[in-house]
Amino acid sequence: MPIITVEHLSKHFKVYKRRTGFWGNLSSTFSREHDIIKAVDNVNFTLERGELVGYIGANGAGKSTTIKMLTGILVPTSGHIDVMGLMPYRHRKENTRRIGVVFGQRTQLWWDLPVIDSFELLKHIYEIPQNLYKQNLEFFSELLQLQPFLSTPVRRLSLGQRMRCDLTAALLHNPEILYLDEPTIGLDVVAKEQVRQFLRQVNAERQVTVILTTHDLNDVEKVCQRLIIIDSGKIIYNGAIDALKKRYGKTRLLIVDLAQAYSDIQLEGVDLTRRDGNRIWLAFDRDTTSASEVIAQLTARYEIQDLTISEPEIEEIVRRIYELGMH
Amino acid sequence: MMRRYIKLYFLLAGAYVRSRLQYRLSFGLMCFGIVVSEACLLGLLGALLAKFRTVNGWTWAEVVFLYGLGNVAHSFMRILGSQLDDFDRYIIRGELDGVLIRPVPPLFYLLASRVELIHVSRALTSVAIFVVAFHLTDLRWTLSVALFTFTTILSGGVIMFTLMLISATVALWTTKSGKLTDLLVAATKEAAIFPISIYPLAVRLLLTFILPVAFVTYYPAQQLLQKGEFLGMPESFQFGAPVVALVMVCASYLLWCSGLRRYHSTGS
Repeated sequence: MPIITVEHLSKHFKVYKRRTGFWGNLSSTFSREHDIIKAVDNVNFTLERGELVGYIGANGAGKSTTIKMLTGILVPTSGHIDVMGLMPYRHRKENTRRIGVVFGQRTQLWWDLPVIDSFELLKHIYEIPQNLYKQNLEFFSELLQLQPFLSTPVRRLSLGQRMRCDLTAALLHNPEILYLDEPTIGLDVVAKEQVRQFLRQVNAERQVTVILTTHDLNDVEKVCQRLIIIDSGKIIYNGAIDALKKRYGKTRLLIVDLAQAYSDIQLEGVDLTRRDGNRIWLAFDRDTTSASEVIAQLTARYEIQDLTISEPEIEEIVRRIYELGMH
Repeated sequence: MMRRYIKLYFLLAGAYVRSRLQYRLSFGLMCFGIVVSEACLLGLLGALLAKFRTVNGWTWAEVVFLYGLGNVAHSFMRILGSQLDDFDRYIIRGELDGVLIRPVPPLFYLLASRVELIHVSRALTSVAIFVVAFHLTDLRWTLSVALFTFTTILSGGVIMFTLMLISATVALWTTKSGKLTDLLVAATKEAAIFPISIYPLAVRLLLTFILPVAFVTYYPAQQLLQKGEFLGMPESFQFGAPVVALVMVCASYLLWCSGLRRYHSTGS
């Protein structure tokens, strides 16, 4: 039996039209003219206990709105959500006791107080028994190496340290489901890797079901078993990651600054997709062409000053799926 | 259950106070500012009354009594309702989401998470003024006077608190409500500390039936000071404060709940 079942879920927002100018402002205060934004539009999916699922999409695609409905912050316009047999909004209090939530953009910790104080407060808020609290605190402090800054005020932590504390704060009461809204945003490579490893471990050792939203394809690749992609409120992909990458993530991009603006550029296995002065954008298939081959060809024929390789971003993959459709 | 919430209130409020005490200098300056500003206001009141002797038949002692009573109720309301000072901040920055993921009633959580020390120090000043004012009048402490005074302050604080809650709740519809709250806080305080007999009829009706601030000080003071001026209203109004407080609690709570339902469906 799934731990989360979402059926025909929709969330529509009314956006009131505003006119400019004094009289426009005045009249829009009284008139009820509005557009309807379908932030989430007839979404269906299920999650099994112990799954680790990435929920991705471009900005404004409906990720956060879905998470907010699952956590009980927002009420659906229509459709049905079942989380552990509860309706998150109607059984808000009971639901919150059994879930953990991390907002990457906003800490849930007490900003001016030592980290440990936040944990103590959460112990009382969630009525965590003392022995369970001690046990969990020890477990997470060790796993995330929190010991050195447990008595440091939250405001003086680095972003990576703060995220580790936020993760602990969300898990102290042994939630069955952990929701993460962009947990790696703004973190450096090392900190990102730490968070990813932690999520895998928590998922494997404590059987916590994890659903995370992100912009970073690496998060999904390294952490998740399954991927749900949402675009303009609709789910456009729901399945394994490998299949998706095979189909859409094959193209890599090489950005090259040439020493001069060569009039015609010819390279095998490479598409010139854009050109701006001395800078050119080259796209190539990662399966048939390697980056070193492309670079070797380039240096043999042209004088280059600088180059960077970029991997396909979620946005890029989403765009391609959207353009090409699911086949 | 009750004990859990009382404990949680003090834990959360304590966390806020400890946060604020990280910035000791600004707290110290704030306290100093309050004492100075209260002293100035009282000085001004004294100077005006020294010139005119009475306000509409109210002596200097009686006006200071009213001022003290209104201030005590107001400042206790501000302690409890510190969070409502700029509640719309929660809506604008989306911080209400963080409250809704906790297994605690949202209004309780919000009110407990902020207790401004500035209001505590203001409350102490106002209690001092009230005690002095009490002795300037002919009143003497008896059990019934003490009970009536206590009930009056409690009801008055609750009435002012609910008015503030109502204005803050508006933010759940309009996103912004800061200016409205500021206005209401200032207006109710000013209205409570002077005898309403100085205002025209329309204002008196407003302060009795719409924003029932007259029940915070003016009507109960009729009982305490035996002034017997009811301005054409029923004499029973002198005992009306607790009833009005109860009605206001119900009304403001219903409004809050419907505001929260709206937030649940719009997220803004």
